[in-house]
Amino acid sequence: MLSLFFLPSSDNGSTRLRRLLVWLALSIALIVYGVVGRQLFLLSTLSTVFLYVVLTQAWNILGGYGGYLNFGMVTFFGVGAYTSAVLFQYFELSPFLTAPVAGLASAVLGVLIGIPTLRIRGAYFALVTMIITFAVQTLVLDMPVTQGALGVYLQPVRLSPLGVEQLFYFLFLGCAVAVTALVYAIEHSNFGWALIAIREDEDAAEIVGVRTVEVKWIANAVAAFIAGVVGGLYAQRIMYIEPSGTFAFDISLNVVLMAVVGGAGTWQGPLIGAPLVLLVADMLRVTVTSEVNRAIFSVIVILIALFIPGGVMGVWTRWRRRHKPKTVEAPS
Amino acid sequence: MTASAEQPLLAIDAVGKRFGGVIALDDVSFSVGAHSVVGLIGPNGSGKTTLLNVINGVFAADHGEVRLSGIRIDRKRSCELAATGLTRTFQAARVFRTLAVRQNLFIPLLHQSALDRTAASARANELLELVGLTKHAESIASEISGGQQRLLEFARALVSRPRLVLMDEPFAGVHPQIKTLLVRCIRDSVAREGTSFIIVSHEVPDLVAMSDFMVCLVEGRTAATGSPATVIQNERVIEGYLGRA
Repeated sequence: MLSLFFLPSSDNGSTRLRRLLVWLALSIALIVYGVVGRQLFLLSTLSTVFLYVVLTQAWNILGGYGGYLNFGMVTFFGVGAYTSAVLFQYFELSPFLTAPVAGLASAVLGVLIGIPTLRIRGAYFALVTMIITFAVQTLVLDMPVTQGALGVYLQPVRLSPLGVEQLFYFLFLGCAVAVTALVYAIEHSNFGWALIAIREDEDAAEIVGVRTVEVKWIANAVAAFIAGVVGGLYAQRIMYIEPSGTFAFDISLNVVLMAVVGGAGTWQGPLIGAPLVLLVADMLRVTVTSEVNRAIFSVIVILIALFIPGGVMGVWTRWRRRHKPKTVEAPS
Repeated sequence: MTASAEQPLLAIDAVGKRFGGVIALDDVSFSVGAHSVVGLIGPNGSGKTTLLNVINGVFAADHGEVRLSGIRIDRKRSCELAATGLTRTFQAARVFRTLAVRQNLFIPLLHQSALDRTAASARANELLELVGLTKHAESIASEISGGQQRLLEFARALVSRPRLVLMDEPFAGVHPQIKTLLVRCIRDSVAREGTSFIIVSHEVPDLVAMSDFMVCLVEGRTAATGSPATVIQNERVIEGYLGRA
């Protein structure tokens, strides 16, 4: 089930290589900027973009390829953040070391949540994931170990302000590249095709042999692990976490928006959607009041769903199909 | 009540299924031999699709047993049954709509770890040729006609070389040419690959012509089983389903 590159791809080798070179050039440009860039605001903004790329790619595994609209991605992110923060608080372990443990904690939660919820489909699944976020947030608010509404403080990193920004810039960039590579591999693997079959028709997928339950559990656990790791690093970045900010529904909403805008179910979608949505969000934030900018966001999503299904990547794919010469096999 | 005197491929023994107060299946028993076509007829609501769902692991039977080559399968999941060589098609074709026609045929091969990429492509091409969809291989499945989707779903069922295929109303609402092609493909599959079929249909003359064995369900019970000629002349079948001319 997890073997890679089993299925023939519709792209030929040169197209794939050209595409890879474009993304490689962009990655090198970002690395160079991380070294030579001196504008703290820009480094910080780009770090946030990378952080969201990671979260959106993680969401993409089950949400984009599998068609399960998870509106609770922040649950895994928040649990990761709190795991690292609590491990620091009680054992003085650096979040840089405990981030994988944070990922594991989130993955375990992902499996536990997945067992009952992944039997539910469509809008009900989306609703349940939202409710679970609020439940976990309330739990964290009430547990002595997490210090409730007081939150948890972490030790600052002993570097200059520029050094700190560069550190998180490269950490989140590295995570974004690694997770994008993972999602690319999933897209081209049997596992990815099983997820796509589930999205298209779960009953038919099960009947032709896809182990739908296991595939969904694995996808959810992998997504939760990634969100947990990045949550742990995020806790160290902001140095103080508390329940309402760490489990903010806005984070879950942003992740879904980014995937939908960029193109859910494609590895490129989050790379396009995350910067685009953050850019629009920032523009709206400085021009419109915060209550209204979420409403405008919602309108944008509705318009995208109505007029450009598949987001930016959907438009691109349709354009390519229209302009690509059709390969017609000779009749037998 | 056997379709074949040899060890049956599929044995259904006293299967019952109830939905609340409604008895959908009541002690249904019959067998399906290897390399054979079994026609399953009966009026609407007689339990035909429910029976397919029980055989296929979609519903668990309340009582009774279903065995495939002697092994009990009535508590197995559909995906496990696919791995043992049992698959199905649906009343309305259910293809993977955003995938290309050829890609649809790869999905049932995902669980066959021994099959390599070249063999998968060759098998897909063979099936596309069989159902006449070669020139649509790269088309998106949702963009081909309903009849072609029916053919695609049939090809998808056959791609993993199953031992038994359950087909629910395969001829309903399809063009006569596609129906003829489907019948030819079913016969070809029985003859060349030894696949068996249970076909639910209201197209009784077609089913009589192509079946080795027939079963008629009326109100969830087995009204008659046997050769097609005997079943359609059975008084209970005429009374409960076919009516008198």
